Amino acid sequence: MKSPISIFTKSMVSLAAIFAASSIFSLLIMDRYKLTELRNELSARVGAYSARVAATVDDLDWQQDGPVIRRVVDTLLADRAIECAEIGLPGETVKPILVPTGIGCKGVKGLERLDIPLVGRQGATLSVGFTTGEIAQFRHEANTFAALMAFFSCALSLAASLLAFRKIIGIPLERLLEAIRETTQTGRLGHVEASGRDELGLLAVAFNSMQSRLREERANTESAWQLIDHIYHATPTLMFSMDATGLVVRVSRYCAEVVGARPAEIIGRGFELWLAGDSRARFVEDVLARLAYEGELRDVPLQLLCRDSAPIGIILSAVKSKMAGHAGDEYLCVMSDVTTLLDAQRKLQEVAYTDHLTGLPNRVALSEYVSELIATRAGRKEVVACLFVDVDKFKWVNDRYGHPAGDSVLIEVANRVSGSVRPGDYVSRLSGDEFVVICRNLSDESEAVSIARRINQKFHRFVEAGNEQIFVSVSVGVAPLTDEMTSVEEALGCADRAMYQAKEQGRNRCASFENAADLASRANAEVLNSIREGFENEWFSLRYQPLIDLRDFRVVGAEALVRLQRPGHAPSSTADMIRVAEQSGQINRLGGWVLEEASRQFDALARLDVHDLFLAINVSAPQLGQGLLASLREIVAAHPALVGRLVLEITESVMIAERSAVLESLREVKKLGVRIAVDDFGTGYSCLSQVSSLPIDIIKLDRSFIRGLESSSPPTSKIAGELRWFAQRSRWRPSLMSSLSPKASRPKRS
Amino acid sequence: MLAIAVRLGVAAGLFAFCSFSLNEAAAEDLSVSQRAELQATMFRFIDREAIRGSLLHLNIEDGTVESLSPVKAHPMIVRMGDYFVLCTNFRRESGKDVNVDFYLAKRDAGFEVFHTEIDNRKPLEELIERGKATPAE
Repeated sequence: MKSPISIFTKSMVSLAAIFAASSIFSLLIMDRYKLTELRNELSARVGAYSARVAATVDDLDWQQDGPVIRRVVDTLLADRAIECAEIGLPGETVKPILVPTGIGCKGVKGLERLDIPLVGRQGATLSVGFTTGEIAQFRHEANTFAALMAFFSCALSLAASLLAFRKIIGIPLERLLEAIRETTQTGRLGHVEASGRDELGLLAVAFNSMQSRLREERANTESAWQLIDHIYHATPTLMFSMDATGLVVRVSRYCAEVVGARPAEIIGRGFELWLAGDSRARFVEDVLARLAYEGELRDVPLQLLCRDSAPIGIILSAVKSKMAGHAGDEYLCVMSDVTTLLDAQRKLQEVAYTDHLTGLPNRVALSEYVSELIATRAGRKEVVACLFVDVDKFKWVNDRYGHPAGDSVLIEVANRVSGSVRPGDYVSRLSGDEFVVICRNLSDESEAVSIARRINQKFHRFVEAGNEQIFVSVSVGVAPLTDEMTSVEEALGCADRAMYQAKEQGRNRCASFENAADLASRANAEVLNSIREGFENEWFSLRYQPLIDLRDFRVVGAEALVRLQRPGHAPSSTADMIRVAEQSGQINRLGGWVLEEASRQFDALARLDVHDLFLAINVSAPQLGQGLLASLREIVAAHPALVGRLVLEITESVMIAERSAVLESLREVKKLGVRIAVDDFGTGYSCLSQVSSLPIDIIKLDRSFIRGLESSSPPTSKIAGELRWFAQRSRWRPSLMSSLSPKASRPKRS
Repeated sequence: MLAIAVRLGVAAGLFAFCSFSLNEAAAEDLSVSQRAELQATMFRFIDREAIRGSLLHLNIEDGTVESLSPVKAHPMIVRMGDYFVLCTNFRRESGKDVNVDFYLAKRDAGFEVFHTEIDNRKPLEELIERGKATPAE
């Protein structure tokens, strides 16, 4: 860096040159004027004088007045510039007149010469030699004077400038500079003396004002920092600040108290030293890396070591901040003690995932466990089996000994099942008297059967329930978890079917899925594969069975029927397809597709100005639930034409099983403007009185009832009479319609 | 700092040199001998034209003739290309001074008066205003 040059030096150098140049210029102008004037005066004087002498000589007689002429000419020398004079007379015998006498201008060099013709004598001339020495002398004197004047004027100007500069600029500027230097070096915000109303005076006033403002700002900032520091240390918050490498630069007193160290012991060390176990690595590898990348993070769960080395659960939030007295990036970290929250969460999770009667994992826990097992199974050559345990005739136990005894039995069953399996096997209570065991890391599938047999053997003795000794047995279904299984329902379904097989074989025994299902299961697997492929390849289609009003043979509606047509194969049996779909859990997906496709096609039909048709869609029992309701809401919203025209057809079996849940679902469905029909009524166990209490809109009698109505045979007449009687006593309006298959002939009116 | 000083010094030196050069060149416009010869020519003309030491001036308007006695020659010479103008103060009998401008031209080796303006400065002033005539340096 170059050494600084003061403004004064710069100004003086500039001024000196300007003064010198301007002085010399002024003096030269004056010199030039004076020289011209001097030259004019000299020439005028010599010219006039010589002309006068010439005129006098002209008036004199050369022959008589020779000495007079000489004296007249000699007077020329009285002028200080005239050095010599001569009068020549060409062709005359008279000697020329030379002044100085006898010499004239001979031998004198460097003279100016003035020749004046004399009129008295032809060709006579007065030659005057004069010098311009006085001009040269003046020029010399003038130059000397100019140089001296220039020097003195420069010196004087510089001195005056120096004094003026010091007083006007130098001293105020030095004061300002000194004040700024003091502020920079010591931080003291001093004032300078503000004198004068010139720019520097105003600058000093502005500087003082700025210093005052800075003092106020500093005071405010210090107050703010004090407040922050107070909050930092006085509030019972786990708070610390660290640099980008995780070294603590500041820690709140409360935080230091909690970890049992003095702040000085924590500051300058990595905060991970006060974290427990995995949290230490997570802090270094995850927290610091994310902070460096994102600048902040929220709610990172960690374990903090307290003074007694006991870990407490915390969540850490950090944000990049700038605190006083630290250079570089700094992160303010706040930790919240969530030990109580975690305990509560753990307890809630235990409650949510534990069966309160037996203490075993419940259905939810089982479902998550199996889902995770299915999700993470890929690539593992692990033999896993699902054991479905069902207490034989448990309803009879409840009915015979009461529910408390039933609960005791269930607890004992849970204990005996848990005592039969290997350590690490997952025992859970699915619902009621159903238990599921997941066995992992089996040597082969036969090991699972061995475990199932051990479970059966555990029930060869009575169960103590209060004062009663109850003999209970269990049926166990064993099914492997194969790679093809994609859902919990599928996995449990296989074991469930094996369990039913065991029951059908006489209970108190076990059956494996392969043995139980045998060929039927293989066929079911093929149907299941067709269903899955059908979704991927769009092999499903809809057929419509028209519903005809027999009074005028008008089509009043249509029932949508799903068909699965695999290319190159015979059409699949719809009944088998529905059954397998129900068993495998695919029924919801299939039912959803039917509902959506039929609604879309019906909507297209409605645009053709066919307004009074209704659309009937079959719904199976597993579909009834929140999923169906949500789908219906979306469909009704998307196709308003369906409101009042959509009919869901259910079977009697749906009404019998889980009556309360079905009732709730049906009521919700009806609120959407969807009607409910009972299909094939009369083939199950329901009765008309039961139906009348349900939110049913339509009852479709099974064809076996109406077959023969036309013949008016006694049994059918009786049925017709009963129906008429029922209609009269209830809110039902009988109407006679017929389903017409494409191949059917036109029905006869009856 | 040194560079600034050097630059300023060089500029000042050039300035002074140019000023001196101009001064010297201007000094050679009309030599002292020529000036003296012009003055002498004017005086010789006055002496030639003078009657009993005075110039007689005829006033055409009123037909009067007044006598003008030379008092003092002006040293300044005005140049109009190859022609020159010199001036001399004359005094009337009434004591009032009159300016007489003499216009000179070169003739052979010397000069000769070819025009005279008595108490009439306008022609010369107009010539100076139009830049046709300038004081000889």
